[in-house]
Amino acid sequence: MRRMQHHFSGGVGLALVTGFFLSVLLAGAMSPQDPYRQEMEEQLLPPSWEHLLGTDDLGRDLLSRVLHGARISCLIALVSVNTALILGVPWGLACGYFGGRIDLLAMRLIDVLLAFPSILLAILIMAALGPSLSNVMVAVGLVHVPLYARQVRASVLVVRDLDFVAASRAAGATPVRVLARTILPNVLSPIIVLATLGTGTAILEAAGLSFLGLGGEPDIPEWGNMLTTTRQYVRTHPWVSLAPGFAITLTVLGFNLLGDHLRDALDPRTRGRL
Amino acid sequence: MGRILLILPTLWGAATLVFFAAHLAPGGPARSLLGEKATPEKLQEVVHSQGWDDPLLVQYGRFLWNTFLHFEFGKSYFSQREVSEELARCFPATVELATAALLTAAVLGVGLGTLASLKPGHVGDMTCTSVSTLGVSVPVFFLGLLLLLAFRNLPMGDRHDLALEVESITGLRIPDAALAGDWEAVRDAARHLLLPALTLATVPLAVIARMTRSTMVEVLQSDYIRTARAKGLHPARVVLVHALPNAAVPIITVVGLQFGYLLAGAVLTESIFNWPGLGRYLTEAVHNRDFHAVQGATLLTVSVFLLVNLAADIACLWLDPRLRKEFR
Repeated sequence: MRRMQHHFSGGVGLALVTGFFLSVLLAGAMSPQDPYRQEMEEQLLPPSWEHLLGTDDLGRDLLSRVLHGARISCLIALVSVNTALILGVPWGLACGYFGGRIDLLAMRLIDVLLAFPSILLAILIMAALGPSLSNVMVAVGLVHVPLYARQVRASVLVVRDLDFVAASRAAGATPVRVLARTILPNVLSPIIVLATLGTGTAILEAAGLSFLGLGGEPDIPEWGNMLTTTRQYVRTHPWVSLAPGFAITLTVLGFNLLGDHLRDALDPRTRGRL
Repeated sequence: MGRILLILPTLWGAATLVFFAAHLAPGGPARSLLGEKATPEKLQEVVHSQGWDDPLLVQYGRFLWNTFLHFEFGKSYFSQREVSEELARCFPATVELATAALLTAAVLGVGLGTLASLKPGHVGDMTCTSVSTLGVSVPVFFLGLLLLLAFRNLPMGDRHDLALEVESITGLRIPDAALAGDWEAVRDAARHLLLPALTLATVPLAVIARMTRSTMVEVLQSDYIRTARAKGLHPARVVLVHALPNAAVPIITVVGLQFGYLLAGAVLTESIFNWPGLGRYLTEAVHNRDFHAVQGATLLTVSVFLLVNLAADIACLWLDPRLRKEFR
């Protein structure tokens, strides 16, 4: 029963993520209208055949905006998850492998960073960098760096003293080669899981920052931005909030379900049971 | 004791981070405060008045001195008032909101998690698990809007009806109104608090319910529970008196950790409901690039978060003698 439920939720996750990437790829082809085009006579129209999700307060087609929003969220996820990977993975690898005083210091730094609730740290970075969509991506990425570093370090500690690493070292490999060729492939699966779950979180946090008005221009069809600019209509014209809100929820849910499934599927301890 | 001492370097680290974040700003804090079009004279004046022309280390020393010995963060550039006074004014609003949310989340979360653990794999359990998965995926700000849509007769925002004034004693609206004996104001404040608290409570509720469920499932399989059942005790007594206290430690830890989420989530929730608390103050300060205000609000939030987690740790030590031994 649990196994079935598990496959089911993994499948739902995959379907939602596929749907997300389809809208990223086909946003241009599937959008009935330009997401920026304003029609003054068509403000706040309810969903109809002409506008499947209705229109917003400036007469823009919501379906087109939600579809283009997927592209922006995809860009946010790409930039922020890669920022976190590029900085966090080498950090964790080096700390775990070399250990010693630098490791201790780096781990204390991570403890301090993790003492901040993540969105608070992101807001602090935004305060320094100034409000714009690209800064949102950077801030969300930087906030995730300590999480990746800590996870990678923990995984490195497990494999560091195993025989094949010792063999590689004995064969005369330099530390960089040992790390890149011997250790990295063996700690890859937790990184994949973390990056998948991190994608959902990154989209969620970026939307949160945009919702606070830190995402720059208000007409960008970013989902959090769309929610915040039209929130006064939620009781009178609910569709303007429902469309972008469900888009974020389903995307994040998809990445979370897929990430959970990958974690169990890639974990050797649970693999046999799946 | 060691844990209490560990909080100090963490706070110092946080303060350092908060201090240098302001100086990371392109062009320095004065440039970002005044914008690109500021004249050099004006820039100079602000830099001087804020003490930003001193060497960085001097500024850093002064910042630490004022923050930790006087609890002062300097004047807000926009309102020209002391940041610590402004924080004292909006902090109670956040405390009221976060406490209401935490109570809701803890009571409902532990309750639902316990119910789900009684029959693992049953329909009720499945529903609980699915709802909690969904709960952590819905963005707080969308949830707030959905609740506004669902409960149309409750107010859209603000902390209370402006026509109803009560004297501020604790700064918490409901106790204040109750102390004044003004029941209409109590009702009004509760109506304003309900939706923000529910919004804020949902994610912690989901997390707490999950944690309770998994811990309780484990505890309910242990030998002493079988013994208690074999003695013929009432099932409710077995669950509430024998099982739940033994599952308390991980649950309390998670509740403490969720408080950090509550403080962070409060930033978004306060923005939706126009709640005059710390989170909204922080958001406005970031928009105005008012660095003293940002520093003060961030540090206050982090300190509260650390203290609450410390309290949760101490509560666990008190509940579980085994941990106490390990601790020494």
